[in-house]
Amino acid sequence: MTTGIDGDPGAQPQRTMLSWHRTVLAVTMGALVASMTAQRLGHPVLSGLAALAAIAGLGGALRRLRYWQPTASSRWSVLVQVTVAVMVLSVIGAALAVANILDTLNP
Amino acid sequence: MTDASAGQPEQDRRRPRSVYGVGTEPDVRFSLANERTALAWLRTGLALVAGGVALTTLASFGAGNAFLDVVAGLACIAGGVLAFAALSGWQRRERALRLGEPLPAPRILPALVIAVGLFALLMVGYVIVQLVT
Repeated sequence: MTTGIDGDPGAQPQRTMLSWHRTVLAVTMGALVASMTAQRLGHPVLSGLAALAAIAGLGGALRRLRYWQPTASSRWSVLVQVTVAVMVLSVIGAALAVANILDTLNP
Repeated sequence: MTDASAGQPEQDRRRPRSVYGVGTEPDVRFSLANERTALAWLRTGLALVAGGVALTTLASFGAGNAFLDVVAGLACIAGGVLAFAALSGWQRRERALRLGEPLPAPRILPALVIAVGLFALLMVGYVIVQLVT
C-alpha cells in the first residue's frame, strides 16, 4: 500500500484547500460586518480601516494560496497572514466596543 | 516522487525553523490534517469575534448599554487569543509529527470552554436582570 498523497483516497489537498477558502471567506465577511457595524455606530475611520483590511486580506490571501502546495514553503506565511487578519479583526471589534462605551458614558 | 526526495531540497527554505529544522518529513496527509485543524481553530476564534461585533450592534440599539459592550469587547479579545493559539498549536503539533512524538494536548481547549461558559453565564445573568427590573 502506498502512503502519502499518491495512495490517498480522501482528496486531502482538495479538502485542505476548501478549508482555506472557507476560512478566508469567513475572515472577509467578518471584516465587512465589522465595517458595517462601525458605519452604523458613526465611526467612519474604523469602518474604512475594516473595509480596507477586508479587501487587502482577501487579495493577499488568494494570491498566496495560488502557490499553495502540500509541501510548499508558503504555507507558514499564509497561515501567519490569516492569523494576523483574525487578530486585527478582534482588535477592531474590541475598539468598537470601547468606542461604544465611551459614547454611552459621554453622549 | 517519494516523500523523502520531495522534502529534502525544500527543507532549508521552509519556515519556521523551530518546526522544519527538526525530525523527518511526516506523511503529508498528517501535515494537511494538522493544517485543517489550525484553520478550524481560526474559524472558532473568528466566530467569537463575530459574536462580539454582533453584540456591539445589539448594544447600540436604544440608549446604549455599557455591560453588553464590555462582554462584546471580552469576546473579541478572546477570539484574537484563540487565533494566536491556533498558530502556536499548529507549530507544536507539526513539531511532534516530525519528531514522531505523541501529539500534544490542546492547551487552549480548557480556556475556550471556560470562556464560552463565562460568555453564556454573563448573557443569562443579563437577561435575568432585564426581566426582573
